[in-house]
Amino acid sequence: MEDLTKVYGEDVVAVKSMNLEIEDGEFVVFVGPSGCGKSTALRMIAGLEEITSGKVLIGDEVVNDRSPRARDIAMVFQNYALYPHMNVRDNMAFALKLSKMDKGEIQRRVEEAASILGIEHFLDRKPRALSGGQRQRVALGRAIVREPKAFLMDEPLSNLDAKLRVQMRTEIAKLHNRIGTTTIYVTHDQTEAMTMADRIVVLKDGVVQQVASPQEMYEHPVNVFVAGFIGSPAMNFIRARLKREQGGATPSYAVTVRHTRIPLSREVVGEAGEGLGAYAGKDVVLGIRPEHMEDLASAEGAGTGAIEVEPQVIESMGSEKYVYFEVPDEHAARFDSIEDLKAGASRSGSAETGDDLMVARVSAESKARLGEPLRLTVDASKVRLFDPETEQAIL
Amino acid sequence: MLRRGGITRREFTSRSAGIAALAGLGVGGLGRRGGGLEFRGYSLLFAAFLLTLPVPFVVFYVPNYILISRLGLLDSFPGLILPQIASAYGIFLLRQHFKAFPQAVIDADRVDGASEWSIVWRVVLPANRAAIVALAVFVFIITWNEFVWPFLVARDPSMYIMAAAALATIPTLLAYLFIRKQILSVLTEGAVKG
Repeated sequence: MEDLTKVYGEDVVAVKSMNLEIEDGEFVVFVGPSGCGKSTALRMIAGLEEITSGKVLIGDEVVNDRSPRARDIAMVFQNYALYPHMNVRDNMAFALKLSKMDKGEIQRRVEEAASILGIEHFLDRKPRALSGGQRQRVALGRAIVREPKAFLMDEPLSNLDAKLRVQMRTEIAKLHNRIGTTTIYVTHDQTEAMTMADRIVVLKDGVVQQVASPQEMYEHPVNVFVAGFIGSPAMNFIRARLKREQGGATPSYAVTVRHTRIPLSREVVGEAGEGLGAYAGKDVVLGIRPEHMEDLASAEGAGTGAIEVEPQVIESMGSEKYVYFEVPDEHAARFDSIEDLKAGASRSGSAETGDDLMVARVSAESKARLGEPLRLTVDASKVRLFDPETEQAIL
Repeated sequence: MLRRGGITRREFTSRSAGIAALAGLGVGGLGRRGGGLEFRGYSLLFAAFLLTLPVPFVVFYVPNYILISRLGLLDSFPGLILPQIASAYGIFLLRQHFKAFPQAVIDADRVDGASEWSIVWRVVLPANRAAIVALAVFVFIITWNEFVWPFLVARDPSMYIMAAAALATIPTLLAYLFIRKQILSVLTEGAVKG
């Protein structure tokens, strides 16, 4: 995609100057909140949406003016989009029949795809006689039989229940490993993005925020939005003061939140380089992932700068506990970009009970109790710092 | 009375043609969904059709009669058929039905390689068969029971057959018995997540 842009009407920009190169065989996931332009981008690639400006290339060929059928791509839709009056076999064979393929070859491909997806027994059923998961398998089968250059998947698992979604997620990943066809997958679910992607593209308001591997994105988000979007429960943000401390050949830094001092580890300082100096003595936004905090009582060695908090809500997940606690007002870091995400946080399945609650993910052995002060350690080698004005990562 | 209340023999055939034409026009409703069938002034044309919806057919007898007469179509089958071809009700009904047809299925069809007409003939029409058949039966019942228009236009007694009023209900009844399954089935069920 080169400078791919979509404008609706006069000035509603759905996708803005999107640039992305996808390697052959890669599994790329477009992720972002509702209305971020991810589906529009996918539909432009499919040829279902007119391109306002920019180019879509498949191979070395510009396909802007090509019809969807001439692009040799297959698409899987959120609501399955099966042909209701055709049985499964005809649904899967439809595109092949249109291309006037030999009947024997059509049968071979349909049966092969059906066996890959485990739907051989349903071939003579109509879509209405199938469950949601089976219908989505048929939709995948319809894409597979075409052996296209690329699969485009538009939130294919969003209509399935949580358990089936996890199961189908694994199946799609297995399928990709087996077939190896380039896949572009759109979702609003960061867990799907993290678990399936070779590379993730995070979008917000039609603008690409970051393109990176899941691990890179988790460890080095480029801004507050990406940091808040990737990871579950979401990263905590606190306003803190960065201080340069004397001593040693290389300067050392620490951030202070109220009376708690969290020294930045050498790796973190080294990674930030010279730029960090400019923020010395100034306010920064400290980003701490819930899993990088631990109950001091059950922590083993690592971790510095114990902070004392008062748990407001404790959720036991069996394997771990989520401890929610309040952030003092003067340290609360609020960003418009993050507020929208909080509004939709119910999908993460955890409490996210209030705007200014922080969450720590502590071990199941933690003795944390409501109303009793709890001391948490922070893994200083994993904290992130952001500029409070630009919301861009300092490190 | 029996003579005057007679039913034109070939009216049945004329109605079938009328229904087919009606369905065809209703397909125009796809214009809003299937980009390829969209044309300029579609909304205006649709609004014009819609305006005639509350007007009873009786009101059109005189202007229709004058028109058919000037076209020299009195006493002919086209004279019987033409005024009933485009019913605002039928177009409205089918258009609303097509509008509710999932866009994703049409998109899937496009990606699968179908042309715009292929989308209509191979997917949208078959998948909406229940609505089309229901409309066909409805139009058939209305036109079969129509008395005044054939009486006005077909003056030639050779175009009449004598029929008792009771017999007039038989074809309608038979039609219903044969196609009730299509009328009652909801074919789009299961196409997309409900």
